[in-house]
Amino acid sequence: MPQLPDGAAAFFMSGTGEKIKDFEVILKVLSGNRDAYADIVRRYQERVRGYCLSMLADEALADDAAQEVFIKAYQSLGLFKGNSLFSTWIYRITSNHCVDVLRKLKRKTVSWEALLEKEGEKIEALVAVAPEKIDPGTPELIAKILSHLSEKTREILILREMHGLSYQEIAESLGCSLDAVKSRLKRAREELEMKMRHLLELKDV
Amino acid sequence: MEHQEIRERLLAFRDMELPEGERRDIAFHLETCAECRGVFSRWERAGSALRRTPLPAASEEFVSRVLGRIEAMEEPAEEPVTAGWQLPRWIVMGLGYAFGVFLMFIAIANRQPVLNADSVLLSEMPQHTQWAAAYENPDAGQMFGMSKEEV
Repeated sequence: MPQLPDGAAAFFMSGTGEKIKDFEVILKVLSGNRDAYADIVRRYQERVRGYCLSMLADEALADDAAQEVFIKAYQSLGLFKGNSLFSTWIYRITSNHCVDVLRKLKRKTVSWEALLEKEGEKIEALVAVAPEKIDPGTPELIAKILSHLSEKTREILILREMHGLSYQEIAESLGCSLDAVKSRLKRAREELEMKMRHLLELKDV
Repeated sequence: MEHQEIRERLLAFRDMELPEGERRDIAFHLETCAECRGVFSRWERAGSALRRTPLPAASEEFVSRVLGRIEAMEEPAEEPVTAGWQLPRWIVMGLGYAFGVFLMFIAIANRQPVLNADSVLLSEMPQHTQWAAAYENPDAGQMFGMSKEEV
């Protein structure tokens, strides 16, 4: 059974809202109430599953990976020092796990040109200024686009653009400095823009 | 602010990570500079394409699966079922080997000299004739149809 680290209680109680709610649940879990962990899973499952799907581009794989993330988080709950939000802590576990899965898979992706040929119209609609409606296949399409970017680019774009984390939260989630976040984000956007350049220019006309 | 400096801060502006004063300067610059506006617009559209991805819907089934796996993981592992008392495997193999060696010694100890017509006639020693063989072994004499006197 995981144990609560020293000083964590004081830190949590200095926080507000989400932090206190998380603390209450974590305390219950650490004192032996395993079922209380369901609240943590309920609160973070959308973000963790969304991240896994965007990184792995495969629904079944993403679902398995998300389960693994919650199990790892449960096992190391006693190591959570409370120096950051629980959300950034679990994003960090998710990010590391997805990178591990991708390295084991070494899956070959369809070439960018082949993807454009097959899904070009959908991608074009996606970057349109005011899309009328969201296509149900959008998450898969976005995941396919992201799979053509490097892992580091992918993870920072997911955290910033899709999950709306602040620079500080991204730094905590990825375990890097604020300056590193800024420069990685800049490179990531350049890489994405370069990939989608001609589609974006089409819309400029 | 210089044009290049604005370009450097355009990302932070877009991410709402700039202080209010700087935000106002950049917003003013964007109104007057078509080139920066174009760059900003491309970033905005590429980024908004990603933001349009809805997060997966919450699922109680997912929650149950995770808790089920944790529960299974924490249950004490069951003792493997053994079928009563068993000899260690190496002892069984050792006994089998020893029995084989024992049989081999018995066979060597009870070995009989093999003597038949072929072994005598095809002997590699030419002087070792049928008579010599019959002399050495009276049974051989009978085999060749010789009496003791003839030998």
